[in-house]
Amino acid sequence: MEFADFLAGFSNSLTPQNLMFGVLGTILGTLVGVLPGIGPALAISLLLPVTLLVEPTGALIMFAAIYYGAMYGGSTTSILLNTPGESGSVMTAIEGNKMARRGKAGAALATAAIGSFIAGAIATGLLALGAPLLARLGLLLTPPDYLALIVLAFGTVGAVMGKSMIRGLISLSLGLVIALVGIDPQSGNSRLTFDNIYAADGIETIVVIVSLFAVGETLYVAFRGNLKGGTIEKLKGFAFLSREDWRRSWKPWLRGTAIGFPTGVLPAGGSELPTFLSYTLEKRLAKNKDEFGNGAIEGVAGPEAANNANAGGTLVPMLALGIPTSGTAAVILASFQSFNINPGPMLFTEQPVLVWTLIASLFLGNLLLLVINLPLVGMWVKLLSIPAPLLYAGIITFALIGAYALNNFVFDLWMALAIGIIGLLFRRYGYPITPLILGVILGPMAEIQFRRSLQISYGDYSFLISTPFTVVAYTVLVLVVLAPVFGPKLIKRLKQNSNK
Amino acid sequence: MKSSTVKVAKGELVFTSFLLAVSLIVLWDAITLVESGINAVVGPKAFAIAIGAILFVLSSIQIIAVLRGDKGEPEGIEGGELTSKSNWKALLIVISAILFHIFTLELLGFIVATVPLFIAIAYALGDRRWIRMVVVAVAVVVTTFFVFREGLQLNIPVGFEFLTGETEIVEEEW
Repeated sequence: MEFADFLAGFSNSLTPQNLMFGVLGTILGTLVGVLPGIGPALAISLLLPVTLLVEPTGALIMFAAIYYGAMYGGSTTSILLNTPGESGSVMTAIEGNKMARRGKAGAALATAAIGSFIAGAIATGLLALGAPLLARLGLLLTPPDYLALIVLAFGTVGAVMGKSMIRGLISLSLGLVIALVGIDPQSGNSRLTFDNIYAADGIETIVVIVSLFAVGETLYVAFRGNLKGGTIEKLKGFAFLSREDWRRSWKPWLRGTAIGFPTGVLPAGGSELPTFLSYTLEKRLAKNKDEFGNGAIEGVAGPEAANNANAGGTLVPMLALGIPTSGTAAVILASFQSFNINPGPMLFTEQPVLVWTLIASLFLGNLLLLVINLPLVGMWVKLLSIPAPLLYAGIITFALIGAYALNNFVFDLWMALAIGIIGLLFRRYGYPITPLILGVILGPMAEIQFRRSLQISYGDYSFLISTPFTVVAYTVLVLVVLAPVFGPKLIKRLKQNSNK
Repeated sequence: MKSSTVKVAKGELVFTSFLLAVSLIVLWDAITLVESGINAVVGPKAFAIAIGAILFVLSSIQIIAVLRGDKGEPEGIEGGELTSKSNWKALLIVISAILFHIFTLELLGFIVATVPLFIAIAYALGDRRWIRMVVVAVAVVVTTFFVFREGLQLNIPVGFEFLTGETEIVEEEW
């Protein structure tokens, strides 16, 4: 019975060791959310080589807590410094920083933290209810269905992420190419190894992630950046909400959650879209439209709830189907795999205690985050005085020691540099990074389902589109890919007609 | 596109051509692959060819787009601002420092290989307070070394093994 599993998970999450990992995760998560240049995906991959030594439950609790924590921490820098530490906090900065300039930093921080808490709690609740149901549905999927689902996730994430669809799809394909490198486990044939014995094991996923984020970002900042410390707005008194603020915040919190959670479950490509949608919605609904752009509390409450609910939402397909819909969820999936645990429909039956401990820990972590963010916000602000150049130097140090320590191969360091340069070029020419990571992590899974399907059908490719589910999935994919191509032209034509 | 003369972004054209070249390499590698082993219905070839083909089509479309004047928008800088001018000097410093780290790591050990790397990156990103930089670099690198080697029992190179004469078993020449 699931309820019994949930209780077992809850008591298991209260063991001193698991509590400690949860606390550590929330602190680290807030930290990486606050600091520029390092996000939850990079933080988790930097920690992966180290955590392989500890027991999986603790490590996974810590990673999930980092994911939630980063969403809290990102709001602090957005509001006080006007520099979003996380891509999901970009919208928060618009109104949040204006509020801080008007001396209402406390209210902005409080609505962000309380909104994040409420959204996180609701999202975790929906995760606990929805993920087992989705997993049960997932058991019904045949290999061609699974392949269609993965291809759909590829297509939508590739198309939605970034500003140009084709760049997103190229990024994804390059990730799939990187996943090909090495000996094919089924046949023993080498692909793209060029007779290099180190390449035979393939390129380590952790090395790819760490190099794209840490090395790529550092090279890019050196090449095109100017790191200037901005002005930190002062926080007077405590972060709290007046009665008026509560009245104005609670609806945006709930609306933000309603937007954030479903866009996390569906492959909509991270937290940019839901925060943007939430902000636009709040702006449209506002009674006093002039206040928007000058520090409207609704513009902070909505997006902040949306990004936390989104983080919870991405965990649903990640746990239940083994399909991540954001960069961080993809990295958490990779960390499961490095412990030889495969998320997917079987996870809830094979590892019930682990899953429910993880979900219970998310409830606890969310509460902890509220506690460490509201009263201690001043302490996090002090961290912003760390000089950014030293921060980047430290990140590279950890990235390279982590890449080397995986196998003790200098080869992995060469890969780190090469992939770091690709990361630099991607940033320079506006290619999004997340689709590449998704390709690296999901590529091997797509190939397994592809070959399994064709083995069942004895090489008949029409089997790949033989079920109703596959037809629906591929149709949706075609619509998603074609919409941005023909959509703007259609709108343009309509506008021209109306102008005439 | 303002007039008949379209300004083509040369750097981006080179990068997109590189992507096209990658797709050709993938296709060539997949097509020349001799499938061996048990007679599976579908071997390792089909999927690799599919990916190579997808990348080939996408990068070809993108090359045409770039030739017609499409330009990628550079990403913003977290905690700073984007400069309009490229800083080749800083980029070369960071890349050289990483190369130095790669070449010296196993020979001279983690500490010797990483302290200069740390300082070089901090310098390239605009730090000029030398004393603070050196102190932080040594502190961070030495702490990391001991935490990873002693605390986590990971095999981080100490270096200078050529002095003691006990060479490790050489796995493979580079």
